[in-house]
Amino acid sequence: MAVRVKLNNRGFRELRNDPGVVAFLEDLAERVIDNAGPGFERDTHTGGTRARVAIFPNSAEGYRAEAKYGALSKAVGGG
Amino acid sequence: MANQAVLFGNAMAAARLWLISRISGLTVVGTEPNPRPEQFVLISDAGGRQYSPIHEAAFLMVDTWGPTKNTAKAKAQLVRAHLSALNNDTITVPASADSEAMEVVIYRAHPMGGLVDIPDPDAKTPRYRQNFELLVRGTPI
Repeated sequence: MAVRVKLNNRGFRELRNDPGVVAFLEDLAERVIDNAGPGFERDTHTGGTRARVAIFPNSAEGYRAEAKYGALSKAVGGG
Repeated sequence: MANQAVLFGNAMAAARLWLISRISGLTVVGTEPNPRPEQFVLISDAGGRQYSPIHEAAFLMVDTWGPTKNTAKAKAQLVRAHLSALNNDTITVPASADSEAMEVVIYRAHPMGGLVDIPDPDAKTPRYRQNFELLVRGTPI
């Protein structure tokens, strides 16, 4: 007998914006920032289909660290 | 009881050899040369994560330098095309003075994002950066 599966897209959206998921993403971002060194910060966006946390350089020191040594690029895979 | 030991090969060296075999005339290095040629590609290890006991995702940072912004970008696109073409390929990394020969199995390679215009801040030389994720098989030892 065929089984019909109906996905609850609203539930998925709620889950992906859940405070627990946001906290998990922010913890992950903090680890990347720690690995990257000084000059980086994070910004959290919720709503829409999912929560997102962006990490970006916030100073000349951070921009230089990424341009010269790939500090942020390497920090993403370094922890 | 201990688990099976699994050795992962040098994905960076394998990617470098792959590009050398596919793009003639382009210098592809793992260490920044001094003096720098007018155009070259520098591949660096950028971490990664273990997928399973036998698979790892190796992250590579790939910088492409050129005499002009357009040249650097065109070469970077060529690099992206050839790295992305990796698909169940086995690359033999030959022995060197400080390492043994090893075969590296790469299942696939995914660009992580696109090309970033990021000139060297000291040399002011045009340069494009891209990051890749290579899914690599380890060898039980």
